[in-house]
Amino acid sequence: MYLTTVSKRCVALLAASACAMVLGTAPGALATGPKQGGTLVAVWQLEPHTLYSARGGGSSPLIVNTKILEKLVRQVSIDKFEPELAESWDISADFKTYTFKLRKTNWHDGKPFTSADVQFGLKDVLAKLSSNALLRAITKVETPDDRTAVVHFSRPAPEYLALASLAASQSSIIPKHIYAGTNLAKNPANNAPIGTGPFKLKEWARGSHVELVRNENYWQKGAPYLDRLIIRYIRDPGARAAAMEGGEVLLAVSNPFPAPEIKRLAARSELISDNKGYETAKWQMVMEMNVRNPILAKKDVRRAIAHALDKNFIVNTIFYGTGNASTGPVPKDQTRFYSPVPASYPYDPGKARQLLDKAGYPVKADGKRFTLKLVASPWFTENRRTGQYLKQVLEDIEIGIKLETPDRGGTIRQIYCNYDFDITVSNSVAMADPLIATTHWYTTNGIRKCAAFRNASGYSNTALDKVVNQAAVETDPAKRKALLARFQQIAMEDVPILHLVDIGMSNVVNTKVKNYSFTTQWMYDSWKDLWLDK
Amino acid sequence: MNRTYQAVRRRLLQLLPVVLGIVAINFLLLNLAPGDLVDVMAAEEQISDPQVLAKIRAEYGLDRPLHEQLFNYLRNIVSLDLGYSFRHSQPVWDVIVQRLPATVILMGVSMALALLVGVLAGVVASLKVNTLYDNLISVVAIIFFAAPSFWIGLMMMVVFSVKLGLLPVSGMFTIGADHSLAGEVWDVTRHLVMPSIALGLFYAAIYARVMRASMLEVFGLDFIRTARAKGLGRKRVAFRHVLRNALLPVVTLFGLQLGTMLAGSVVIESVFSWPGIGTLVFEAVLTRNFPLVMGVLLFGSVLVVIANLAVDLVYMRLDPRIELR
Repeated sequence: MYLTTVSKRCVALLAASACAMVLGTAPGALATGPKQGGTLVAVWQLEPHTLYSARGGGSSPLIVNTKILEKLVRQVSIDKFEPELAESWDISADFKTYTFKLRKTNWHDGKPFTSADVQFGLKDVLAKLSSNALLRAITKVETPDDRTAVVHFSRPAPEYLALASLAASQSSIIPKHIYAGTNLAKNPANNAPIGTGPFKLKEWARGSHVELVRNENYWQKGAPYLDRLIIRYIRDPGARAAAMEGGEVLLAVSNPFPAPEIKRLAARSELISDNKGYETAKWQMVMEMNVRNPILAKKDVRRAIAHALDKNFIVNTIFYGTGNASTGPVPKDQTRFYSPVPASYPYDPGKARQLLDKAGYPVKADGKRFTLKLVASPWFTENRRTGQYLKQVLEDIEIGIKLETPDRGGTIRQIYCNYDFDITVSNSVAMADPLIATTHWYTTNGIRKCAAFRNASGYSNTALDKVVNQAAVETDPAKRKALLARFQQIAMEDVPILHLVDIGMSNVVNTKVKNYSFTTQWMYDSWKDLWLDK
Repeated sequence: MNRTYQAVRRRLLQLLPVVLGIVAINFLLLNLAPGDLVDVMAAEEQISDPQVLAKIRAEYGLDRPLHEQLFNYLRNIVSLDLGYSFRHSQPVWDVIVQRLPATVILMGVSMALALLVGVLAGVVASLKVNTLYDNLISVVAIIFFAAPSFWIGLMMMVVFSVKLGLLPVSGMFTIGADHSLAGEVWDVTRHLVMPSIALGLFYAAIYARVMRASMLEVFGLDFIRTARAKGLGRKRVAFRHVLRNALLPVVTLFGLQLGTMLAGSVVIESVFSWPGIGTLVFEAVLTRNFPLVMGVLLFGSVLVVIANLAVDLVYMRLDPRIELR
């Protein structure tokens, strides 16, 4: 066991220190301790269509249901997990069997939480629906008694990968007595989730807000601190900022405003902005190159394109200086798996031209070497601006660019279903472990028609596949880290996908709100430690 | 009167083929957009198994040929079944009905405000034509017509909510407050002030311009000269003779806009987080949730047909020479 599980007291300490750091208050001021009670109104941009989706459903349902439902374990920092629904766990010597001792607690409707719920949640929901290959490798879950769940994997499950997967926001355990035997997609509880978590759903006023209230019978005594948690939906960024300034909302997460607006708001005395709480869910901006196009199938052409653009320009101009120029599929601040840049492509248009000439694509009579179709996705406004930038710099090295900017549904169909692009501007999320959501952008079995945010470039390399397959089952942390370093090295040498920006994420918070942003995916934390200073 | 009754009945019977035709055209147009609901869901929910995708498409009926999907949809519509919104885990009817009251309140109040302010301003401008009043009204009307309503909304928000703290920033209710019925009405009224003004003044500006022009035109007609020659007073001529005749174009415009009322206003609803239908449809189009889009369009087309009928009836009342056919 190389991981430590933190005790409750440690969490409180950790939280207090994070809080002191953020607020710059003297530790003495915290001696009064957290205060009980109060209503916190947080703001979110898009109302979800349903509050729970067995497949995850994206950030809008998750930000709500992670307060109501719980997972077996909770990830509190890059290296630390603490018990949530599981009180403790044991791992067999071959890493194929994980035995979880479960907490004694009840669902919000009063029914007891038992190992049967865990069996249902892991075997019938996650093993069937998850996009995470490790969770799909769960073969059976035994329930020797109500408080014990024995999880069997078909292959060795590296401890970090297993715990990070079970702690992921989509891995919530749902009540068997409500969902068993029903159509998971149509169950009415999707719109009124029943969980074991610190907050219960009181009301979902469609089009307006979701109101959660304190679960009086929560297993952790004293938690949560808040009496009520309200998540309000305001679609317009200007209106969100006005609500924040007017004090109607106290908390806004995940880049709630355009970068210049965040700076303006943070200058107000009662508001602060920070960028913690996204360490194990880092958004990146990526450029996929379609190797089905014989021109892009040549490594030197892809490298030339990588040399032709200035990532720092994108960061400084398009992202207003927030975030960092990306160095590869694992962001730099994910220290656990990050490997120092093996192959980097500094901005050098001269070199780009040279590489293209050498690859057999000289400038033709029409002034172009060849023409590519660039599809810029719309899910971040920066994507389209970056698309325009790429058009300019690539035209500078005499590559003709046809820029297309379809809407959301059209983009997904075009990039991930029809593979109708040469290069793209899209986004990926780097989770705690690269095996969760990163490697399938590169592996051969990551190519699945119409499955979005996977290998769309068509890249296939048996050496890379082999390294990833080994990393999936390697249980020695040091060896596993070396394998994943090798993965990053191959990925950067072959560069079917060029990572442009590690996107910076900000929260804007009213100073009344204490003890926020201390877990690595805090937006999807239960917020049971959050309190209000009135 | 009997002939009117028959005409109304005939119009209502015509509703069915008209609406079905609209539904069929909408259906085909929507399906021209690339991508479908399952593409969007697959992306959001990270579905990676093509078999699962095929299964979902089959479950939603998206694997059927287009004409069969259309036929099934029309058959359901006739039996008053609007279909199921898989994204909401709810029937389309329920989703729409939840959002309907907010839209009806906002649009109703804005339209009433627009009509009242617009007609009044138009009348004043025409009575005081080419004076300071007239110019002032024209300038204000042009400003409200030209300025984007989201900007006006945001500016009102900054002034009245953030700076002065007089009105709530956005939403329809004070969240979490428990009110009596009277308290709730007052609460909604306070929330309604800014969105209904931002939306209403845009329309008021149009009505004011149309009303002014229409009044001036009628003032120049022979029968007005006759009325004056009879020795009728200025006020009586203006209100009994001119106003009534000048209202016709405004009523036409109003009827047209009444038809679009159900679609709400995406812009104003977004800016003020008003829980209405506009944002719902906007989101539904982006996610290719066509049963929902179709449902709202259906509601809308029924309303257009009924609004047209109502306008014709009002015409008759205003101008007895007009007959309903």
